[in-house]
Amino acid sequence: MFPNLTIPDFPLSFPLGGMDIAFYAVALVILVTAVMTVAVKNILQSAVFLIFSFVTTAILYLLLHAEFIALAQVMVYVGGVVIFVVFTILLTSHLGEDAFTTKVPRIFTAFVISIAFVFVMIKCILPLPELSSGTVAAPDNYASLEQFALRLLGYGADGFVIPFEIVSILLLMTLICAITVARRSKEEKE
Amino acid sequence: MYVPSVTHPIGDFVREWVPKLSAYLPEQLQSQTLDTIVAFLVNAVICIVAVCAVNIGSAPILIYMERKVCAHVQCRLGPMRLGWHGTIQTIADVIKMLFKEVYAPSGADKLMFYLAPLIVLIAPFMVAALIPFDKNLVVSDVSMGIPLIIAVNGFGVLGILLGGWSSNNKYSLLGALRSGAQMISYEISFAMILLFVVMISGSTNLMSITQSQAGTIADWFIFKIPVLGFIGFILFFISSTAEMNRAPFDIAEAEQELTGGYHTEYNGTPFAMFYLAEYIALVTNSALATTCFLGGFHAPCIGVAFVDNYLTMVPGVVWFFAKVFFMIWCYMMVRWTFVRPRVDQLMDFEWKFLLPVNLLLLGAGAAYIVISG
Amino acid sequence: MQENITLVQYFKRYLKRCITGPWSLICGLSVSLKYFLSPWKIVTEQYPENKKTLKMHERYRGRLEMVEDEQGNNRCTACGMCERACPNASINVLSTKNIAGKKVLGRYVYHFASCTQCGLCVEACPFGAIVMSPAFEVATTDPSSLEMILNKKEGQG
Repeated sequence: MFPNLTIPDFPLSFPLGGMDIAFYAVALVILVTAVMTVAVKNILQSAVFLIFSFVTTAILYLLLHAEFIALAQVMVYVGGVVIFVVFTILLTSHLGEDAFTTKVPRIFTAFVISIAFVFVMIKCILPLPELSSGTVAAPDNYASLEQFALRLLGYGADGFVIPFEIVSILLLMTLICAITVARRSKEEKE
Repeated sequence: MYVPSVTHPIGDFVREWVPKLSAYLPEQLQSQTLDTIVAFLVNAVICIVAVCAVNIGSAPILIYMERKVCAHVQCRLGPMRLGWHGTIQTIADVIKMLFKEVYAPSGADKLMFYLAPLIVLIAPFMVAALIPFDKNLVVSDVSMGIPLIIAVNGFGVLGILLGGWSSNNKYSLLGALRSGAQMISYEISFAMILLFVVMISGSTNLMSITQSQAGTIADWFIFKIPVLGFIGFILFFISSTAEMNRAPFDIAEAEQELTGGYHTEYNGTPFAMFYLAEYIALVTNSALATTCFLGGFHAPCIGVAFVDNYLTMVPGVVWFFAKVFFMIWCYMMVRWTFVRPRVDQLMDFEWKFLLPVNLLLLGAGAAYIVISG
Repeated sequence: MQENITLVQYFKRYLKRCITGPWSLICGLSVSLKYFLSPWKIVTEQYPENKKTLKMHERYRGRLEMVEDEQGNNRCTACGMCERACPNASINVLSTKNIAGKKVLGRYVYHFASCTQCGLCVEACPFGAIVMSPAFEVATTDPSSLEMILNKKEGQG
């Protein structure tokens, strides 16, 4: 991102490193906003906290040098998904205005499910050697836009052109389906 | 390792001077790390101040300009009383607006109500930080400039939707929904035109997009590709007008139908922030059009060495702002000439005309690049 | 509602609109550009500053006035047409009799406070005795000055 940059003795090792401080700050914000998303009674406020959670996740990606993923996160989730969620909330009147009560068994179920999820995540992720040691870094420009595009549209051994095309066909299908659903049928017109 | 930095000569200047100044400190406090951090913080503050100065400083100028252009189109004089030809009229307006009492309507969602203007301001400020004003006058020269611009544009829609909903007013909600639908639709063609520019220049970095237009006027993207460049420029103009919610596409405000749309209930400073966001978006979109189509900070050389020598003597910043203000003038002329389409006409125009033309343009641009090599 | 047209007709119409639409926009832009570039066409007056040179339009309808010659004689015959034409009763024509016993104008009372400057009285007058004057600085702090008598002399008839 910034070539010709040499700053010699910036402390980048674990306990005092700037990157670590940034990571823990961002992680804290993610956790707080994620909890707020669930805890807030008003459904629109919860959607807004969800947006902040997504944006901070994008900042986490930026810290990991995955710039395109970060931007795609903002583009797709903030610019697309959450906007449509907000739209749906706005178009549905009186949604979330009544404070509903939750019973204990529901909380218990949620607790069990989340514990199970966390367990599965730890079980899957921890065995990876790169993550537990934390030393292996991706090569330079690994997640840059050019590399990304070349691999996404490459038709060699490590190219992803066929999944890419399948996804585009899926999107086209979705578009056509949306038009078919939204179209007024002939009987209705008469 | 990723260390944020400022690559501008001013940044180098600060990095050079901070160690020299820190030599006067007591011995125990001196360290190279501290120097680096202090230099970075000083540079960051300079960057923030620069972006704020360009954005907030340009808003009163633009409001004055808008009033004057509007008046002269309509055979009027515009503001004439305060200062020479009414020059301090807008400053008086800003001061009036800032000293007003800020209050929310009863039943409004206070948190969302005050959050919305802040969210609207995110996108223009972030885009302004990416624009190269001169060869080495850019706040953050990121490699993914264009995707970042497309990404942060989504915040504008969000702010308008939240502002309209939290006002607890049906006109605000209607305006917000209409403008949300409009901005989401036009964002697609906006992004596609930027993709066209990326395709021609082969880069997503705004600085290298500008540098690839170096040379004479014929090298600017609006003229470089025979007809397609001009069509692309027109399409960018249309979609950015809709993206900014400016007339003739000001469905969001539509005073005659919606009593002001999403900011009906806003007053004082929050309203000033919506207003500010609108005008900063005008600057940033004009700057984007300048960067992508009109050659950025390059002088309009015509290929005659004698004239070009004089033209290139003018600093790039001056050329850049001259082009930006020309673009702003174009936006204003369009605003005060054309009538507002209906909502359904607006959507028809986007989905049935603009989007197919954009797709055709992308295909034709690709064909041109393949043929011309 | 939808008319049936062939595909060829549809495309012809579409292409025609693609040309006529932008052309009309260009026409509109050229008009506003013309006005933008011609500052001498501006109609706004800088009123208090140019008080001395300001000339009112001749079609402007200000206060009601009576047409009088040099001797102050008017043409009013006290017929009362204006009084009848006035929609909000701002005019009272008080007639009197002259020496010959003929009905002439005594006092022409004009209530400026209730007048809307519609000009119906001027249209109604068969002799052209009254006009709307171009005076526009008519504000006053004294309400009694709004009741005025327009004629200086009694009518000759």
